[in-house]
Amino acid sequence: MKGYLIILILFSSLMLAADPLNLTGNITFGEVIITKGCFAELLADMDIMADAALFIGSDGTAALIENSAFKLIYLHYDDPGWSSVSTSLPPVCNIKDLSEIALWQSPWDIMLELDLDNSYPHLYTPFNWIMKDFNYLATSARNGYQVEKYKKRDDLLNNDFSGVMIIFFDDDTEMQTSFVPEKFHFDGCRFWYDERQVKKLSKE
Amino acid sequence: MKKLLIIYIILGLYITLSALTFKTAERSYELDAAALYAASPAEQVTEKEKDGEVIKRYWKGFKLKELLRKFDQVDCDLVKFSSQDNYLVRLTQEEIEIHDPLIALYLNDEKLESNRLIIPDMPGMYWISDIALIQTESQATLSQPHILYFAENYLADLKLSNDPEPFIDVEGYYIPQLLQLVMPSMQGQYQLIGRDGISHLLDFNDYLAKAVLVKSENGYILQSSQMPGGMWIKNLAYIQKGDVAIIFRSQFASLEDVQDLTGWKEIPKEFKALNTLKASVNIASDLSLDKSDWDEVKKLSW
Repeated sequence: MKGYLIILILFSSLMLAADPLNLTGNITFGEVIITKGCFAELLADMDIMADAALFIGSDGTAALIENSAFKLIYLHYDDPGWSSVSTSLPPVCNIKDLSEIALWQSPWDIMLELDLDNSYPHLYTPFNWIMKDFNYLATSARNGYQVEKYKKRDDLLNNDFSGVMIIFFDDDTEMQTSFVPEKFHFDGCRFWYDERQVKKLSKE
Repeated sequence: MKKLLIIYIILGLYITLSALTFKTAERSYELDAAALYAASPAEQVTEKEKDGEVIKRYWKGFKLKELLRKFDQVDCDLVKFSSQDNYLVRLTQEEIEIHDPLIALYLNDEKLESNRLIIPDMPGMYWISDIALIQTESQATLSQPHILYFAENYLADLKLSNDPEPFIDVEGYYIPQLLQLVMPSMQGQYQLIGRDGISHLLDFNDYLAKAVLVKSENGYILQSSQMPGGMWIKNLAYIQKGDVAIIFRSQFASLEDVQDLTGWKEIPKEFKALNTLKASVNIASDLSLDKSDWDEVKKLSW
């Protein structure tokens, strides 16, 4: 009997050793989900606040779900990976092989301001930066909950990050330079240029 | 040969301009309005007072209810009408039941230049002409939002534009400037309500992406080059998408006023308010909206 119990515990441990599911967006960097369960409870256990979440599948389908519906959605780990399941929300919430979950909360301090000769400066929180690569498809409603369905764009938006620009860093310093796109990157929660955190890009 | 080509072009243009599509969640159909009228002719008499004289107008066409029956759509929640120039109106199932709208092709036995929706006892702004698309929808009514923002508390920090394109001699904000700060995604469908109660459900990409909040004496007018002028919303009071709502505080005396306009089912006794210093405080919902306590509030939730 004891032997069976040990095998069961070992098996459960293996199940729990699933690849972590990255939480990105408006959240402190480095948070991951490693256990299955009710999404609202998983966030509460990690002391994470979010007003909405974008569940993103590896095939580019995504569902934007509001906080009040978090209690009705469950995360499972099974072949081929993480999936979200709900029997009460619109079917669009059932996504197989999740690649990440991006969290939204507002107001959020970390923003990238782009002042690129547009009529007004464009502001992106980390969540909005992720969101800009998705096209809205439809809104579905079930049991009083509304869920928006999105699909990753085939033609990702190219921002005009070229030429001489002024880069404003998080430490309140700035630099005027010929912009090298390869030096700019987004890690899911913050914006970087040459390994320094960026808060604003402006045309000369 | 040249004449024939011109006739073809004019005919093609006429067919394109007068095309009428009926769309359901499953598929779309090209409608032959004349054939629908021939199959189920209907007449509607309306009265209009002009210079003290009552003028009767005789409209002929086909009934919307008949169209919905034909395509097995009588159970839809809403019917959306869009014109060639992007004018948009929606009718609820209840409005269709009460007013029994007609899609008119003739007025006083003369063929109309373009079709027209006739809805007795509803304001003229709903009588959309030159309808290109009739679409059935099963969209739920406004759900109760749980996150509220006051527009003025965010607009105060934004750059006010002189002559925001394409409008001149006005001051205003591009509406994405505001939405980008408080909505998780700018895309999708928004419910916008003016202080006079006129409500629109509008898609961001089709109607709002280029919209401007033009400053006026009593608040803001929502104007957009993507909308015909008749759809512009005076004294914009309320915007909602999903669980998030933006309230134009200056349009209301209290949150009860907001409830009256929007039809919220309930208001909690207290809100959790996040202020500019990121401190969380509780604030009574019956506090008058002109009180300075609301000035520092960045977000309300419950």
